[in-house]
Amino acid sequence: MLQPQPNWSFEHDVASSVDQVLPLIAAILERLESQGWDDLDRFAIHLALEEALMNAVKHGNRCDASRRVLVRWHLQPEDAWFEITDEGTGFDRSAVPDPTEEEFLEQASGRGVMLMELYMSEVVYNDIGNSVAMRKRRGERPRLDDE
Amino acid sequence: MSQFDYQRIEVDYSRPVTLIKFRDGKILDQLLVKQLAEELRSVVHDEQRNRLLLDLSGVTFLSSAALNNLVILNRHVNKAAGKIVLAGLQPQVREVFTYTGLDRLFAIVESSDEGWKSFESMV
Repeated sequence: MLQPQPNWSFEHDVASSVDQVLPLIAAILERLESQGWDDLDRFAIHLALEEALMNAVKHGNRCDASRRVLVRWHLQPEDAWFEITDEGTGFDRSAVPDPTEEEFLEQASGRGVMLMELYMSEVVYNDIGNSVAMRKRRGERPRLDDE
Repeated sequence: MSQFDYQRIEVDYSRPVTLIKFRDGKILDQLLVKQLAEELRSVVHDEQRNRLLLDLSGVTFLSSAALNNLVILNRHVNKAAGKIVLAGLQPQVREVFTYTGLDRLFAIVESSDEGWKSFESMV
């Protein structure tokens, strides 16, 4: 049986560079593994963090290393919460096409956002769309709407 | 044999269909995705290979950036009247293709052996 784990909250701001972001993801995944989160949960969180952080670096901050990405997280035994905020002008989620629609299948846009929303239990954007909060409940698997 | 020296992929030219294995298990780093895309593009454009069997059995993680590059590669190969078949996908990676609808764009088979057969029907 799993022993109760201490909560782990942290706030970190990094430069808009892949080199800065990847070690952060690795540290979070390592922590999740040490707390007994299984492969599927870690795969889901890895995917969502990767997409959210790359969106913040590339699309939000336009790879401008002088701009920062603020990452906050709070890990509990059964629940992992993340918030990623960039210094960009934000985006309109409703304007992002459904990448599974035939006409958008070959386009690059929307696939990352869709995967984040699918693999995490909850995904919420702030009003201007430069900050995303994501929650993963342990053991909750991706579900398509029509399943 | 090939004059090309690839870092991210292993290419087997011993059959009419070119077998490509990815050297990296996790394809997410932007630089790695870019390098991988360039090498795959080189196989298609510089080496004029347009029947590709991509063995993804060693890949445990693909970001959307990597998926996007596979989609672009597929478009180029299709224009050249070629074909890409993906083989040996790990269950989690296979699931990503299903969720994103990309299993409608790519032929996906269980193994490389099955992959060879799927090219037999091509003229």
